Amino acid sequence: MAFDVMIVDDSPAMRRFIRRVIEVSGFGVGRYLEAGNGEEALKQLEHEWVDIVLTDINMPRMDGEELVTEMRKQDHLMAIPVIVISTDATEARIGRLKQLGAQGYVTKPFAPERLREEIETVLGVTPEGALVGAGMGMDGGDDEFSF
Amino acid sequence: MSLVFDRPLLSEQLTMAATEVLETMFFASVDTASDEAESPVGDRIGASLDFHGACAGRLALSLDRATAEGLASNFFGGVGEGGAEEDSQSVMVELTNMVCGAMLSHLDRNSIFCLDTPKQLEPGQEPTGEIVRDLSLEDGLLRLAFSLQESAPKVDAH
Repeated sequence: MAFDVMIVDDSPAMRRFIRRVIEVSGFGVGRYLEAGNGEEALKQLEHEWVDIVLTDINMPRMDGEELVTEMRKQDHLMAIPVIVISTDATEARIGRLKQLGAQGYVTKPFAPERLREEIETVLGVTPEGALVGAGMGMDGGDDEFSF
Repeated sequence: MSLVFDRPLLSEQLTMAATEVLETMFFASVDTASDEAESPVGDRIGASLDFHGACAGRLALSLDRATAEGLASNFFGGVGEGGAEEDSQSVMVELTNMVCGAMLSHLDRNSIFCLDTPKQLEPGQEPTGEIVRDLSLEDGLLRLAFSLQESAPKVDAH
């Protein structure tokens, strides 16, 4: 099973790092889409489908909070799971992103295993293709929010 | 809630945040940490970042270029198309971002901070601030500087 992944971060270095972490985690990835901010991400998502979005928060023009908010408003995007990857580990911020509709949250710094686990939980599958029992898949349910 | 300028606490948190980031994402260990000692010498690069929200301030850091290249290689798993120079610059920016975010999150988990985009320091410019810490890595010195705006209440508890 191969997933299409979008990485949204204004830092090319961080996008490269996240991509590397996913690759070494063993997930089968069909396509990587990359965007430097929420606005660019939404523009690409107008005509591209991805299985998961990994986004930073602090970005110019449109930040991660606005991106999640917009995605949850739009019918064709609301089913795409979002994992926030941020240096901000405050409970206030994590709670706000949960309310907005993010399914996962990984705080930087993180070990590669931490991101792999979060993707497994949100997508509901392991890199080997096994189903993860607690996975929330695409239903966006709040109960399995995995902070 | 805003941060209180408690020098020992901030100094400790600064060291802890940098150590955590270096070990977790750059596979580098910190040998020793101390207050600002002698002026670092050699070819060094750095970055700084302003933050605001519950409290405002700045974090900056610098590192000798060779060590920065080593950290970049660890971070990326090799040298990218742009070469070691580009990698080390971008890694300094990321390191600044992550150390600042980790430190602020540890200091106040209930407030929201916004981090501006980090900027590279001018060549030869060393970071300055109210708190300066030098972290000795395996083969280089990382200098960290942290400042809060004057509006931050100060305590003299120690």
